[in-house]
Amino acid sequence: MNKFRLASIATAALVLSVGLAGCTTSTGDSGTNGSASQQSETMSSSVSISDAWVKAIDDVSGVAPMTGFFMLVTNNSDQDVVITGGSVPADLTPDAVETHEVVSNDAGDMVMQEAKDGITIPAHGSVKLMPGSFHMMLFNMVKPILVGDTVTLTVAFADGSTTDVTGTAYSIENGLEKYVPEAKN
Amino acid sequence: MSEPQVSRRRFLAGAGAIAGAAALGGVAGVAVDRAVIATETARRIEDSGNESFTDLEPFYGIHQSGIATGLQAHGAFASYTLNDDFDVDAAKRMLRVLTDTAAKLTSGIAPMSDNDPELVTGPARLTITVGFGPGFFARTGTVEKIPSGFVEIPAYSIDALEPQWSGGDLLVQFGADDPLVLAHALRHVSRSIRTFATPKWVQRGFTQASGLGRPAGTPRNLMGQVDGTVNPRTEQEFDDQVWASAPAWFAGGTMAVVRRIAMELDTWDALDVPAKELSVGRKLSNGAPLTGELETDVPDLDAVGENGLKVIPTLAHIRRARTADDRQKFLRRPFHYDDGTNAKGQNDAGLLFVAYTSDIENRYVPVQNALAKRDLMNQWTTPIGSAVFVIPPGCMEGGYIGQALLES
Repeated sequence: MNKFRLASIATAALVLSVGLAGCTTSTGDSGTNGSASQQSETMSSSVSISDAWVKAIDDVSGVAPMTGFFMLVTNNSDQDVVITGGSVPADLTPDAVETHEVVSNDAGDMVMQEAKDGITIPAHGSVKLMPGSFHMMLFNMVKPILVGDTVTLTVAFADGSTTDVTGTAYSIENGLEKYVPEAKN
Repeated sequence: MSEPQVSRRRFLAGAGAIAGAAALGGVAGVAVDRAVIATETARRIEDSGNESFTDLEPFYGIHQSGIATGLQAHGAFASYTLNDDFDVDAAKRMLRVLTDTAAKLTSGIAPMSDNDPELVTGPARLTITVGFGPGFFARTGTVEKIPSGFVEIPAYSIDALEPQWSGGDLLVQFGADDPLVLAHALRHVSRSIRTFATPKWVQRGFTQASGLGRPAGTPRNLMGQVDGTVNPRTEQEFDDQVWASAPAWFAGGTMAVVRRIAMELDTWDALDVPAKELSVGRKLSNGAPLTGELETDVPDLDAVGENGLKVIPTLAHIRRARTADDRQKFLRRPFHYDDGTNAKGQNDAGLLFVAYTSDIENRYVPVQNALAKRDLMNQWTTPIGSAVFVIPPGCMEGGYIGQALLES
C-alpha cells in the first residue's frame, strides 16, 4: 500500500460521503420511511418500493404534456394494498397524479386510460409499474424533467396513507400509447 | 496480461450476499427486490449450464474496472460527440444515469428503463468504463483541471488516420466474455445517454473465447505474435505505470490511448518464419527474445550473430519499443478486429490497440515516437484511427463517475 493508493482511498471516501448526502434524492428506492415507522398498520407501511424512475420530458410546450412514473411495488402484508394516486411538487405540474393502465380497445390498438379503481398490490405480491402497463401519470407538465433529474412522488393509498419515493429520469422511446380517457366502455 | 489483477467473485455468491444483507433489515425492501431480480437472472444462467455467465467484475471501487481487469473475450469502444447544449449540469445528470446503468448491467441486473431486460443474461464479466475526451473538459468548464500529460498523440508520417475511427468527447468502453451481453450493454448505454451525446464511432474487438479453456500466457495478435510481454502485472507496477496520483480529483484514474492499427496480413503472409521473427525480435513459437529461451528473458540488444549482425535487428520492434527510461512503460490491453474483406479483396483486420498510462505525454509518446520513426513492423501495420481519453477514478455506491472532477 503506497501513498498513491492512500490518496486514492481518501478521494474515494470523499466521493462516498458526497454521494450519501444526496442519497435520498438519487437512488430511486424507498425502503422503510417516515410514515412506515410511525404508523405501522397503514398500506404505506406495508409496501416497499424500489427501482423508481420517471420518463424524461424535455418539452412541455405542447398541448397537455404528460409523462409516466414507474416503480416496483412489493406488498409485505397479508392484506391487499391499493394505490389510488399521488402528487409531485407543484412546480412540475399542479395536477394530481393518476393511476393509469394500458389496455387494448375494440380496434386492437393499445390505449392508455385511467385505472379508476387504482392499482392493487396483492398480499405478499408485487406489481411492476412500467411502460405499456400500470403506471403513475403526470399531467399538464409545466416544467421539463430532464434525463438524470430526480422527481419525488408522494404515493397515495386507499386508506389515506402516503409515502414518498424518488425516481431518476431516464430517456425511453416507448410508452407512446394514445391517451383515451374513456377507452373502456 | 493473462490473469485478472482484480479478484472477482461468483455472481451466485454475490446474489446470496445481497439476500443476506436484506435479512438484516434496514433497507430490507430494496435489497429483497434486488435479490429477487438477481436470483431470477442467476436461475436463467444456471439453466444455461454455463458458468462463464456468472463471473462478475466489481463496478464500484477506487479504479474503474476494465483496465486492470483480465482481458475479456469481447470488447467494444464507443466514442460520442457531446450534443450542442451539453454543459456541466448536463454532465452531472448524464454521469449519474451512466453510472447507475453501468452498475446494474455489470451486476447482471436489467435497469428498470431497459426495453430489453431479457437480453441481460448474466454479467459475463461485463465491464463498462467511462472516459473523457478533450472536448468534455471544454464543455464542462474544467479545462484547468485536465491532468498534466494529457495530450493528443502527435501526427506521424506512417499514419493514415480516418475521421470515423478518431477523436471523440466521451468514451464508453465495454468488455464481456459474451458478445450478446456486450451488444446489449452497448445499445442500452447509448440510448440511455442519447439526449446528451451522439455516437461518433464504435470499434469492436475480440480476444479468445473464455468458455473454451483459453490458452494460458500472453495473448497473440492476428499476426501470430505474442503481444503484451512487458505489461505491468503487480499492484506496484500498476501504481507506477498506470494509476495517476494527481491532481486530487484524478487520483486512481488513468489515461487511455485508443489506436486502430490496420494489419497488411496479405503481404505479411509473404514472409517466412525467420523474417517474421526478425521484424519483431521475438520467436513466434513462445515469444522469447531471439537472444533467449523464455518469453520473460530480457532481450540482449548487444548480442551479435555469426554473420556479424545484431541478433535482434536495429529496427526490430522490441528494440525500438525499448527505452532506457523506466518511466516509459504502460499497460497494453489490445483487442483484435477482423471485419472481413475490404474493397480490394484484402483482409480488413488489425489491432484495436489500447494503452493505459498515468501520463500520455511523458510515458507513452516517447515510445510511440521511436516506433513511428523506425520500426520494421511499420511495413505491415498502418495506424488508421487515434483517440485519447482521461479515465477518471472509480466511484463508490451513491456517487457517480467523474463526480470529483465536477463537484470539487
